[in-house]
Amino acid sequence: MSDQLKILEMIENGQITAAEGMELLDALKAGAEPAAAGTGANTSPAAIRSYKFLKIKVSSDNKTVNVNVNIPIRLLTTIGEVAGKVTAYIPADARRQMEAKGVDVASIDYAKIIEEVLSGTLEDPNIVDVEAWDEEHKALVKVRIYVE
Amino acid sequence: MSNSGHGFLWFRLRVNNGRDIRICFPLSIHVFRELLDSFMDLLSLISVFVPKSPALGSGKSIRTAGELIRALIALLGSVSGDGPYDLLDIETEGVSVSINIR
Repeated sequence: MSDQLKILEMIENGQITAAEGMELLDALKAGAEPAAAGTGANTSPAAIRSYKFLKIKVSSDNKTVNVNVNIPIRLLTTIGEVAGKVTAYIPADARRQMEAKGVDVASIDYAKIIEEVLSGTLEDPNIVDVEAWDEEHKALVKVRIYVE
Repeated sequence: MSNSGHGFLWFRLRVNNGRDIRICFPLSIHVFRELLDSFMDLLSLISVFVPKSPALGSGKSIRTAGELIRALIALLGSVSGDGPYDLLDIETEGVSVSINIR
C-alpha cells in the first residue's frame, strides 16, 4: 500500500504525469500478483527455492581426477553481466571465424540465459549428470553440474 | 566500498612428482579491490593525457583495460559475499590446486 501512496504523492507533486502514474500502478499490481500466487498450494517447491551455488563435480572411479567447483549464484549472475561487455573486445578476425561457423557472440544475452536457467526451468536441480568412459585413463568419468 | 563478506582468497598448490612442493598464500580481497580501484583512478588520469581519436590505439586500450578492471572488481565483489566456501578444488595425478574463500 505504501508504494501506491508514494506513486499518488508523486502525481500530486507533479513529479510524474497521471498516465505515468497509472503505468507504475499497473506494474506494481502485476508484480504483486505472482508474489500472491507463490503463496498458493499449487506452487512447485523448486520454483520458490533459492539456490546458493552452482556446483561442478568431475570424478573418476580410479581417483585419477577429482574436480570440485563451487560458483556462487551471485558470481554467476555477475559473470553473465560482465560476459556481454567482454565479448565486445573479441578481436575482429576471431569474431569473423565464429560468425562463419554460425556463432554470433554479440547477440547472446548471457545474463538472460543465466536468469532463465536459475528461475525458469529448474524443477530438477541437476543440470548435467553424465557418465563417460575415458579411454586414455581407462576410467569411468562422472560429470555432474547442479545447483544447491 | 563494502567491507562485508569474507576477505581472503587462499591459493593452495601441491605438486608431488618425486619431490613434495607445497605453495600456499592468502590474498586479501579487500586489499586487491583497493589496488584495482587505485589503478582505475590512475587510468582515468592517464586517459586525460591520451588523445581521444579512435584512429589511435592507445586511447582504446586504456578504455579496454578500464572495462576489464571494472569487470574484475564486480567479480571480486560477488566472490566474497557468500560465506566461507571452496571455490575450486582440483586433484589430478600428483597435483592438487585449491582456491578457498575464508
